[in-house]
Amino acid sequence: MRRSMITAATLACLATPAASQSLTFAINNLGAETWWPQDISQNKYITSNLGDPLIRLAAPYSLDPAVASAWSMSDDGLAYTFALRDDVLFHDGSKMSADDVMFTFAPANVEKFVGFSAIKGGNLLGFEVQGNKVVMRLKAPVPALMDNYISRASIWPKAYVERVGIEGFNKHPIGAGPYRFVEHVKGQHVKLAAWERYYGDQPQVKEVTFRIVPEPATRLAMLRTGEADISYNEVGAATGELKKYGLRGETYGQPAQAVLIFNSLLNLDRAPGRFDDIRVRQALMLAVDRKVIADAVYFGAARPAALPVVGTRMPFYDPKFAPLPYDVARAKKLLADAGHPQGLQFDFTAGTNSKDLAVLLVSFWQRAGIKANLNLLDPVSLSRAWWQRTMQGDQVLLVGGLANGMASAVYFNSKSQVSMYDSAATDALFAQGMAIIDPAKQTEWLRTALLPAMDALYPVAPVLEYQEGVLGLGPKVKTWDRFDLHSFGLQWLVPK
Amino acid sequence: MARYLLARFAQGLVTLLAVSVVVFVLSRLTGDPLTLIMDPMATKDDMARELARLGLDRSYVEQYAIFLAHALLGDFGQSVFYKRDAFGVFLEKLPATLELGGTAMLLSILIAIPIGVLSAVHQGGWLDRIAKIVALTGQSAPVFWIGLVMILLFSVTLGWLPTAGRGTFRHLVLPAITLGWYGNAFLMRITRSAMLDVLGTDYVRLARLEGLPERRVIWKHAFKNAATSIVTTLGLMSISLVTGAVVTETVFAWPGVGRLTVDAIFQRDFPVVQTAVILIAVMVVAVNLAVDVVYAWIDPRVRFQ
Repeated sequence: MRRSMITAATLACLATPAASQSLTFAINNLGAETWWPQDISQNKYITSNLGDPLIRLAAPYSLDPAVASAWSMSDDGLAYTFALRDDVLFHDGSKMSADDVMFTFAPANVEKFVGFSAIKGGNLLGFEVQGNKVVMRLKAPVPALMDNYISRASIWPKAYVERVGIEGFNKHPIGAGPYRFVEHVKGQHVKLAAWERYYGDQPQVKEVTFRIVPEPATRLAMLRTGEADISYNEVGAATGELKKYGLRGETYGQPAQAVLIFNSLLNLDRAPGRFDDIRVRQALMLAVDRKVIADAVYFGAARPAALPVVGTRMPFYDPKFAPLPYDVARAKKLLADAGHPQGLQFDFTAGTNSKDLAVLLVSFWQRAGIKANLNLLDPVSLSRAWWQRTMQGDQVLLVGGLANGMASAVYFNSKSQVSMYDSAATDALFAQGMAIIDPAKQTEWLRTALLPAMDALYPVAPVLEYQEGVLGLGPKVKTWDRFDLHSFGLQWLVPK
Repeated sequence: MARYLLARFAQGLVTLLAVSVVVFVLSRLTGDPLTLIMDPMATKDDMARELARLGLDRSYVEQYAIFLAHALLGDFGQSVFYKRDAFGVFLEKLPATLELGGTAMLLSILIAIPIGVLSAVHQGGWLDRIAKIVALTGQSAPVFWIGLVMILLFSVTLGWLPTAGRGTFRHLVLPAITLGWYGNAFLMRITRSAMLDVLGTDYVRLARLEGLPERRVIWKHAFKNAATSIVTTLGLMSISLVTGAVVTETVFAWPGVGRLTVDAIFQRDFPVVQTAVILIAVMVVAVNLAVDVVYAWIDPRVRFQ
């Protein structure tokens, strides 16, 4: 009897992962809770752990191998060769092959992906299989193809998708990523377990449960009670809350910026206005102690920004473009020189999610004789007004944007929905950069041609730069080794 | 009686039509879902194509006519976000809300009505005084605050109950108390004042003079006559337990229709917003109709009128 009890207890211990091997992640939402990559709302937190891309974007302009062990580009930028690993298994045990790569990037599938515009419309000519190598052929070169496209697309199993269909795939998705899908209770949680036959290093955390908890205060409470080991938070107040309770926070994700854009400049085909004058735009930044704001609102998880779109941590960033200092006297002088000796008054619109930042900006401006009438909009309405150019007058908008250099090239291009300005000159310069296929040469072009032209091309005022989000980490988490820019790799999570 | 119910039913249909117009127009005035559902890499052409695919490039009148024609056949359209039948998405979340609302309602009936009756019977006594304080607190404190205080006290500090989620009975306790908090206070006050009105009437005094047992006087004679106001309040409460579940479901990560509706509003998922609001309106109309039937059953004067 006693022996059988011990055996049962031993079996139970073996069946249930040890505490540190099983972690819970309290996340704000999981989108529509569908996992098919063409679904616009598919969720990267899940899908990027189920599937691996050919190559990873480890950091801006830094690629790592994934299911392709090596890659190369032809001199004309029209052919990309990927050497596939031969030990990659999907979660159903089937072996990944060139067929799966071709299936993932098949024109019929690519056309349905949201984004991926550069390889749509017939630009992707097709593939050739050469032994363990796959050659992707393009009609026209696509700069940043690896950063923007290849590293964003996990390779999906052709045979499985054809067998179960999209509906079946959404019920039980499989891939060749470090984690396999275990359980999904709609609206509540998704459970993943480490894929025992993963080609890379075995994840240290054997089981991760994503629990959907929309309220930030509840997520923080769960972190405190130990019901959650990791919590998703927006950068901002949550960082301070984590510190208050002795919990650790770790920033992750794409480099982002809070930027002032000027409505009168959004469509450059119009009469000149007061914000055309760079002195006025600079005065807005000189009047603000951004270090104080970064500490107060972001609890040190942000820093003053220097140039739009290009974060100070980009590899091609030139330190000579330093953020403007806090200098009220200089701000006043610039305003006076620009014909506004009595100060300036304008309407200032910000999203409700940036309220704290906006209020502090208004308060600093006031000290320099700048009166901003703050109007808060819900973030979606603000984005819509910005993207569809429906704002009236010469008001100033506080918006968020990526600061990822060429990877966020979308901000440079007036055809993009999130373009900050519609300018033929900008498009022309951008096209020039896009024509440079060699990554090293492109980086050099960014440093020497684009950075100096930024102020003229993008008449915005970058306020702060930070990363996409901050994760609250509970006592069971030691550290998170690294985050890819397009994924959310649980395999680099280190438990205590 | 049949004419009375028929008239109420017709009024309900007019209400539903009005609700459908209001929700249709209001949801569209706040923008379209494209800014949320499209990837930042999408071009303006991608946006235009998607807008046309969703039928949002047509005039409001045209869109409404199409929506109404389909809705009458039970087809509320495809969710923009979930890419599934909006009615199905709503139905999937409804059981969670009914479970939460039903438990909160049950708690109210079991707690608020007896306390309200006893407060009235022992007017000015210790129970009455405590009940008044509880009712006042319940009606003054916002649900959001109550929910978070419950979490901090019972989950974080005492560690007795889980913080959030749905699953076991223990998960249901805190959200049900939070959701029923305001309704409990309201029902307690209504029951008390209705009972006080009835307890002062001649027929109750007569019943007592006749020597009927006090329990019978209170529960059979007085309570039955006070029940009209209580039934009305319960009707209103049952609606507020569905509509008011928005905050509770968000705080406690409860996967119900309240959270679905709020998410859909922020996502500009028009089909889901329309489905949720119209079906909740159907529930309101149905409950009101049911209250009218119960009225007529309890109070013969209503039937004669």
